[in-house]
Amino acid sequence: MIFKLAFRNMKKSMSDYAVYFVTLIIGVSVFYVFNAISDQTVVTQIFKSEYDIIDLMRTTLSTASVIVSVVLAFLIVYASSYLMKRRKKEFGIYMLLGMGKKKIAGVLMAETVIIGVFSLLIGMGVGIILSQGMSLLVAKLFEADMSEFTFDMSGEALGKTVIYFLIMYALVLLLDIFVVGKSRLINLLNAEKKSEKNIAKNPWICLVVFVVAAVVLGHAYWMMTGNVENLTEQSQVLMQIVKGIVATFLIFWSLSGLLIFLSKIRKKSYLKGINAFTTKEISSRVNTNVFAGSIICLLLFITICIFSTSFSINKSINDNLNTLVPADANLMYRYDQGLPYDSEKQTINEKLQTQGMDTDLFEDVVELTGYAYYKWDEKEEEGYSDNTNIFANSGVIKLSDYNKVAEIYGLKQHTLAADEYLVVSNYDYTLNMYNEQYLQKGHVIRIGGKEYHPKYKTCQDGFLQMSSNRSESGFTVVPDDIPADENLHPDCIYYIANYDTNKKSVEKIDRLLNNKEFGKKTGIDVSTRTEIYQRSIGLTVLIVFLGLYLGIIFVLSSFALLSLKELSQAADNREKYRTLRRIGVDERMIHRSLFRQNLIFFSTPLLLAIIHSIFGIQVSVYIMESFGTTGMLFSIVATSAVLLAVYVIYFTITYRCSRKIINE
Amino acid sequence: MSTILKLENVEKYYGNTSNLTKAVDQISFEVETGEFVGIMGASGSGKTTLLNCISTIDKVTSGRIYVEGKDITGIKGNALNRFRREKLGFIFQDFNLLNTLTAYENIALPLSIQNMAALKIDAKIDEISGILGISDVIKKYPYQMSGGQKQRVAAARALITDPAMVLADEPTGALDSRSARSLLESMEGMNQNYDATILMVTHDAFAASFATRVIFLKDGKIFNEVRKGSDTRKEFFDKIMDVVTLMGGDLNDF
Repeated sequence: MIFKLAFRNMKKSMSDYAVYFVTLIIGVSVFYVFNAISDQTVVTQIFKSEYDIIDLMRTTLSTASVIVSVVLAFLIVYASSYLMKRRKKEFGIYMLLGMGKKKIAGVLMAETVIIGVFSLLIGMGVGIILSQGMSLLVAKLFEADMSEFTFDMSGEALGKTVIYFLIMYALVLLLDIFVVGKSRLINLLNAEKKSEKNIAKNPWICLVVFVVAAVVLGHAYWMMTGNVENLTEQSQVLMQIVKGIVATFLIFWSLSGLLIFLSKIRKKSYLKGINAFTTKEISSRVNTNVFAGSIICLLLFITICIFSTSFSINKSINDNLNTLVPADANLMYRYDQGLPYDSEKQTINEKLQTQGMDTDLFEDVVELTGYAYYKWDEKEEEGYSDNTNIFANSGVIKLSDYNKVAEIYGLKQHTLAADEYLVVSNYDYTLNMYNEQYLQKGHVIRIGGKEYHPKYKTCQDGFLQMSSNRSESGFTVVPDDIPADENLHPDCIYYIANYDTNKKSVEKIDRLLNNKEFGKKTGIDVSTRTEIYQRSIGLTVLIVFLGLYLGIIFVLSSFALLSLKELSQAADNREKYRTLRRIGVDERMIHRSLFRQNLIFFSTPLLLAIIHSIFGIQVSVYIMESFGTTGMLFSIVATSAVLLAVYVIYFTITYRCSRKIINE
Repeated sequence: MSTILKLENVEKYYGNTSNLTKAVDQISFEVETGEFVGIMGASGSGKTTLLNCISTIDKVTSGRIYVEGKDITGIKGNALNRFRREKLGFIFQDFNLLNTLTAYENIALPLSIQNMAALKIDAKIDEISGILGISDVIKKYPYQMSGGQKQRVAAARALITDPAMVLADEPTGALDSRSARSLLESMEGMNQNYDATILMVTHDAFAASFATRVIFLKDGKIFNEVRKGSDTRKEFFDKIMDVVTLMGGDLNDF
């Protein structure tokens, strides 16, 4: 009987439940997708040798899940309190008819069970499907091999989702029972007759406040973009953020009055059709939601920034890896600085063979010596550099050696006249220093008494050591036939090679090289393609997942909140629409007015958030400069796609349902 | 004088064939331009249903209603809305002012949905607010006004379009006696000085005494009809009370 009542209730008020239900389903499915991610085949495949990254991912996403569940719990409680508000009269009638509070609690529990079961089942179904799509996305983003599609389902994640959401539902149920329990019958029955007082603000004050807020915001924008170089202290940056938050709040505070002000100026269109009604409705809606609007705007802003930067980090790292890690392995042995250069003569090839490695497994091997320029003084027991010389900060490489490296790396090869030199670097900071302090001034170097001039006025792009980002601090390339110089010492040996992929055992060699013990034993600094890829991809995967996870939940919460506010307003406004109809306003006019109200109420926080983001993203671009910013377009497109999808879903539901509510 | 409203055998049934309620049962009457007609009856007598049928908010089961010679029972959809906004003005018991709009904007609404120019709206509101004595509250919001002021704003909204007919449903129902009297006097003034045709549903004999004619309903049928003629209001009130007594006590059957 109770179940029947509960079921009928819900069927009857399906439009009220739509937002609640959709929010739960999206919440459950997102929760599942991100908790299942560390168990996905594609993810475990990418990190097959680096289990600690998967562990890190698992713990990070678990921690994030706690935050997410708190956010979702608040959202669900809010949504259910909206439903309770809508149904106060119904409960009042139950009580009037003599139904005890225990029985009502029973009805509520039955409803919660129905909603819980359905939302969990559908949500997890959607989640499982989405997580297959996630596999594809991951494969695409990280260029993983997806030749074999596997259907993944994580039992652990399913269990976790069920437990977390059951706790949330129980919480909501307790709260609902509490609300019904403490409420008085008269208030329940008269719930619909609440008259709202709407204190309109003075439009002139609003105009002034708005202008002030816009100026403050504009200044904060300028400080964070145009003037960013002068922001040296953290407190200054913090100041801009505080300014942004305060200005956002003030804008929402003044917006209602501003709307009235603007419409009064355009009196003709204000007094046309029901424009006056529409404007005043929007204005009063904005007025009563100053705080919520500001919070939602800031939340959306944060989301957009998290989204776009996490995507662009990933994209630029991927692009960087393709150009910065062009070979399979890159080994470097540095001579002990305390010893004279000739105390050690073993090549890296010999060292490898000493370790029992089959060097035939390598092809395209380049081995070369890097020189360092310093004066050696027996008495000082330490070498020192001649600071007036460009060598003070860089190594020296012979031209033919460099060209061999350039060939295997796919970099530009160079030629030099007998008295020329050039500098190679790709790290912005040192690159600028070389350009400004030496190359543009035509800095002359001397080796064994012979003078050399810079061939180019700027550094050439390139590197010797593979790395996940642009970090080659620079070295000087000189002609092969330099005269002997007592201050020019062999400093290190570089060894660059590709694996011979025809041979099966390369994987074994790769694993051997990546073993930390190998480096310790031989003193060779090893970087392999697999190691660099996994290290940097692991980090970006984590950032992207975390960004997506929190971002989606934030966007979801923001729009669900807007939607619920709009729906409860529509319910309160039914009487107004009845009046309009009696006056003779056409249905079409009413619907258009409702559409505009919804649209503006939904778009205002988003619009301001987008304006914030235009500047906010530039700041994050500035912070991540060393990562590169190539992925910006892709990330903006991806961010907008996710935002737009959630926006459209919630806007459509809200408009449809509020239309239904006012037509009741 | 011309006939502005004519009802022919209007019936309104609720329920189905096995359990039929005749809310309005075979009612016919005519209203001339410039008349102030009161419709009285106990609750359940069908007076509000009748008003709803005339105002096209509800549909008749059978019969015809002519407004200015045009049958309105056949109009549908947007033509219906158009009929309402051009020919009718409404005053409700609970005012039904839009609380987000000022008095001015509330009154302007019927004109603005007819796309009247803003300047013209200004002039018309000036005029009517002077007549109804609401010039000093014209910029206020409903929550800043007293009940009487709200109802006069509502009356202004009903009258602003110069409607063929003003339909008032218990307009004094939510007012104290002083405000009620002042509103009724305003309505009377509008009727006498501006020839406004008013149809007022009420169960209050005092309110009805401001009309020029009162029609009594009982169980969905016309029970009686009284005209004021050249009587004073006191005499007319006594006549009305006589009919009320005749209908049964204080509009109640024992």
